[in-house]
Amino acid sequence: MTTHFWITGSTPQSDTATIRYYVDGERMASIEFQPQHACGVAFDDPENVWGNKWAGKGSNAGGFFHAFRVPFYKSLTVTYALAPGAEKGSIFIQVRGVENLPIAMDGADVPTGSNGAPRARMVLQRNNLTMAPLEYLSVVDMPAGTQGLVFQTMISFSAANVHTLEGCVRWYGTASTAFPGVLLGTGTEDFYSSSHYFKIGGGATHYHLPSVGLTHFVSDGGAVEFSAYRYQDMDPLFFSDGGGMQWRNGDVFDGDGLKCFLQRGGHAIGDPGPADVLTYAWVYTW
Amino acid sequence: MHTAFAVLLVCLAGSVLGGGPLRNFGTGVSNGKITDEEQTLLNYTLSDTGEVSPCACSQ
Repeated sequence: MTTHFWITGSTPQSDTATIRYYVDGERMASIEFQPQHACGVAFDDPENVWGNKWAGKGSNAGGFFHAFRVPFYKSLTVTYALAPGAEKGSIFIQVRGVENLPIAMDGADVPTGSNGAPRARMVLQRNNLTMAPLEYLSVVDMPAGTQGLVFQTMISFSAANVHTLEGCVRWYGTASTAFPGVLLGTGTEDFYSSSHYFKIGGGATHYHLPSVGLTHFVSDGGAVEFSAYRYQDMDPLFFSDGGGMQWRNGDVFDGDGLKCFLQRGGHAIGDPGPADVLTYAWVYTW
Repeated sequence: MHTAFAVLLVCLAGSVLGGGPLRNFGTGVSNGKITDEEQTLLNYTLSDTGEVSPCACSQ
């Protein structure tokens, strides 16, 4: 499995490079990421020198790194290229790993074939779309017949106002689990262990905690840009027959003024507008 | 006897840890050029026996 990835060089070229992991001879890479997005950062946010257990940035010029465990059982090919439209530049890059190392998510083992166990794969699911107000999005969307657990997700968006952050986050442990599933966040910022539209004080626009981080937040009272990450190794999310994580562009109150438990109808909270959304989800499945 | 016991322990440890020896691999590029063309950083193959073929790197 891989245990380390790091990149620097010309910026933003190294931050936005296209990195592909071809696992076990696959013709289309199952893992394709931009370094900044893998680390939960969008909008080329310039914050420098931060990190947690799994990822971070060690420089004010590139330096994104992560320690994501990507298993493989025959071969691994890693490639790099410029993001579409980027100018040529220099690059320094490293990738490494360890054979036969087990994958443990704070007590939840990811099976890698030992003693006849299944062989897990890492899947990276990405969304890049414009969402209508109150539209739902499956950040994680695993088909029936699969099982596994979520490793990390990143949600980013630009929207007309902060009301997009009212969107609740929900977890469905199977593909047939009915709404509302398990409530993960009573609002988007709540999912990232913050509150009140990221009221973090002191003019701060970022934070990095062991499992969650706010990596970009620009709000001028109107339009909003936002990105954040959450690791699930200390708060595991399992699926047993498909399943997924659902986020919404804004949300609604029911007749009693409660939110998150009304699938349709209700009263929109504020006036969420269309949102340009990018999400990543790193998922172990077997 | 001691040798056999040691071998058994090693095998058990290997089994618990994932069925083979723990071994590092990896590579890097220093001051390379990044272009539109997809370039290979690492091309690494495990053998069926757990033995490792040399890392082939294209820089």
